Amino acid sequence: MSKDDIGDRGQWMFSLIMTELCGRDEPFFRPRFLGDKYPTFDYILELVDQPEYFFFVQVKTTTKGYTQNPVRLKVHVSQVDVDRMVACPAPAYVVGIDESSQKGYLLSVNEPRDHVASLTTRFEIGCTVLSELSDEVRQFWSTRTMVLAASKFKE
Amino acid sequence: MSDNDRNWFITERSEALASLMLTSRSDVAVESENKKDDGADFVVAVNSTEGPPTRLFVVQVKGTTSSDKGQWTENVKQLYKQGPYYLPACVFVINVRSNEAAYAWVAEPEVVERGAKLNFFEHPDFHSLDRNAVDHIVNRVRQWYDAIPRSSKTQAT
Repeated sequence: MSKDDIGDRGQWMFSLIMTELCGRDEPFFRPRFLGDKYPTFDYILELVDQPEYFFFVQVKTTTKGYTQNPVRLKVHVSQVDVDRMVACPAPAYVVGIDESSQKGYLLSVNEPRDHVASLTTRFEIGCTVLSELSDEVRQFWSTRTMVLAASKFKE
Repeated sequence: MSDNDRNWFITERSEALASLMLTSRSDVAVESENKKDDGADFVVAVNSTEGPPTRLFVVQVKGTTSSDKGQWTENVKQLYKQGPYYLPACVFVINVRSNEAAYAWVAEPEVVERGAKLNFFEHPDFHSLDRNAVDHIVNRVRQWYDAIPRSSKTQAT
């Protein structure tokens, strides 16, 4: 399987994982692909019931599996990308996907840190993590005033 | 919000599930897709790594939130009135709530004594869609293309 094929399959798996219905009428999130040329991030995801609340995700897919003891997914995120995610004023995450098991793992990259040499498997994405992520993003935006009040271009 | 806006996830999930099932075989690639309100039309290539894709078939993907097979039949019946089809074609119906899937041939490839032909139907005959079913579909398409030269030879003589 070529690198492009792995990337395509990773995007389809990401879309499925993030739009799991979890017994609801609609998914928690609506993913929108940013395009191959967009730097650092692959997707912007909106809360379905409140699309003005959103977050960014970089998706990393691997066919190499996991390290042993501790069990971590073998994906890598560069220091440049980590620094851009930290500098982003919206919530930012990495989602690692194991191609063979089609499992996804979430990692917050919102505070300064070293590059990601491998990904923790502590936050496997299922209905509980999706619900908690929704709460986290909602909490982030609802506690901020995002109004640009003194724009020089006001009428 | 329109129904189309409300049903975005039916398109997204059915398209992703169908793509993953098809490309679970390394010799299959989705060459092009045309998104619709409740799914997508795929042109799928077999053996795409061996030069330009010449062995193509069509997969029409229909997403649903229903597990009622009567409703599936209702949702796809217009496909059986379209045509003519010149390539093998099948429909995938995918329940995006349970991730269950089924397929039915619209234009079924068949190898006959003197070559290859397509069988057409008036109604869908659904079969469970899993990795084995994808293997079956791809093998039928592959055998059909293998048999086409025999058909051409027969017509030429």
